[in-house]
Amino acid sequence: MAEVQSRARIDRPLNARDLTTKKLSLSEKLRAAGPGLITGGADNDPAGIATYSIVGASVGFAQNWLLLLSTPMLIVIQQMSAKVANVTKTDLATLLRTTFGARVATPAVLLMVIANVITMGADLLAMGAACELLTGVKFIYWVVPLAAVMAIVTIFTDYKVLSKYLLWLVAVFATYILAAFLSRPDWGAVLRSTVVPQISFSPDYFLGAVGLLGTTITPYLFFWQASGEIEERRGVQGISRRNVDISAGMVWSNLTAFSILVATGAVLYSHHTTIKTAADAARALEPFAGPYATVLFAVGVIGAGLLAIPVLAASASYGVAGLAGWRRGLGRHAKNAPQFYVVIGLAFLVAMEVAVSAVNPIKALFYSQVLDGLIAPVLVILLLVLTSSRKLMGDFANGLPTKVIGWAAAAVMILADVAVVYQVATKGLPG
Amino acid sequence: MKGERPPDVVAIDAWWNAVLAGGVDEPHPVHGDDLRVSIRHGALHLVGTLPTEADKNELLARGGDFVAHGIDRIDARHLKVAKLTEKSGILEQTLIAGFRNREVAELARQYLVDIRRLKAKQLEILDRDQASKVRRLVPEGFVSDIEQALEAGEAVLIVRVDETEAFKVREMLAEDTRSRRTVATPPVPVPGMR
Repeated sequence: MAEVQSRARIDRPLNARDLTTKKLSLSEKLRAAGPGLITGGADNDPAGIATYSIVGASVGFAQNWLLLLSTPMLIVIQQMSAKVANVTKTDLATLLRTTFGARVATPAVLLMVIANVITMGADLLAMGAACELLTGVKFIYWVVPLAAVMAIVTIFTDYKVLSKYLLWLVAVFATYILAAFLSRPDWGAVLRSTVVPQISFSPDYFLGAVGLLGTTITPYLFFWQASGEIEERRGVQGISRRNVDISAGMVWSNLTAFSILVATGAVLYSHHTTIKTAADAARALEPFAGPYATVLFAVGVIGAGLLAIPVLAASASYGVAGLAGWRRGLGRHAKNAPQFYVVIGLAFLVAMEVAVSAVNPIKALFYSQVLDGLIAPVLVILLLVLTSSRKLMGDFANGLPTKVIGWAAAAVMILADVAVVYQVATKGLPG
Repeated sequence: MKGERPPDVVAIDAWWNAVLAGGVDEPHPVHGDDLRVSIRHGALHLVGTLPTEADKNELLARGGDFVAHGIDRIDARHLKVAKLTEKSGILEQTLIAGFRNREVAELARQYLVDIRRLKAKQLEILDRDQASKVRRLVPEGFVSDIEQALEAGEAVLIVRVDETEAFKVREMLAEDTRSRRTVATPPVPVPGMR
């Protein structure tokens, strides 16, 4: 019997995946976790922080379960984005165009670009509001200078080097983890709401759910992840290390998000405080920082914006350049990829216009994430089809667990989208 | 012809001439955007990551020829050699690029081999007359796509390389040769790999 099994092993055709899958030791895993933290950090942009804060303040712990549910989904989707780029050696927009044709690829990518630009506008407003908290100068006056500085930095400097430093600013949000503990929530209620789904049939609840899913499983990150793999030319041999890195980044991202939900739920929801301004959102940090909560919150929002806005602009440009077949990449000199950088510049210009036109920063931040939530399932489904194709992926095509988690993610997001459309259609938008 | 300089040397010399004339934004013919150059206060600053030590030495040696002939010195403190985490000889990948006709495909082949110094395991141009070879060269899933392209009068360049080279080759084919479309088939084990 043993001889038969041994012969079966020898006779089995050699599989490319087996040759590249490596069991990593703990020290190798720790070393592998690094760049994914930047992606994870970029996931918690000012719009994300605002959305988690609004959800926590408006429904308390009721949507904690969605974060737990979305964590493996986010990890699997980001791993698929990285894998498809490493196997096919190209970015998502190009793959969508060459596989599904321009009729499918163009609307899919353009929806992502529109959502990105609106999110950039909302993030600019949030950064302006943070500057207002620090200086007292009205937020709207900060929008243009902030956008101009970031556009120049993105186009004319090495953003990858810079982002490693910006990550330290985003680390400020780790204080939410301490704030969550110091706010003394009812941990029994937190645990129950995290493992037992609670659903309330109201537009508020479902808008919050779509926004929360949209800011967690956010379309631009798929494009950013895939393009990052191309720029780094990592290849399939490093897939095991990449998966560890991605998992670490996404767990960190969702842990921070979870802490924001708990802190805002404990501090704001329990006191029936709704978030109308950035100062309201900053109050969730008071258990940790006391009178310095506002400063801490403002520094964190500015850091998150500095990290995320260039990522949003670049992801939009990767998408457009991939559709058009232009040279692209932040590693390229502006002269050698002019259209790519022009699109980045245009994204900043339109985002400025969006920011200046918006009347309420907090609402703009929240609804930009709802838009992401409405778009995300379409891109997740396309990504699943790409990565499950034996023709494109060969031995690296999705296995059953990845397919199950990926399709479950798409199903959850579609259900939330349908529910929010139904609720809003029958009961109207909440105030 | 005897005494004729290889195309890559000609292209590199032209690049150096452009750099010394102030055209520091020009991509290097072999290393492209992996190498960045600037001239400040008479010093030539070389920044980037090159594939091998030999590439770095070659670049520095050629740059050295221009010291006191256009530049005062070379600063290569930020010029690095790539740390290879991927091993070659494990997987290989076939890339397929479609071109308008055989002549254009031939130009692309010359660019890859003569200018970019590509060492491919296999490099073939197929047109309608060689359609019978398609099945031997590419995985089953891509056969009908290529046969359709050949039937429409296109020529395809089929390049088989080590998987560690495939990113670079795909980039060259898609961006530098302006192929109509470029596809990378999935990586497969190198024959005889155990």
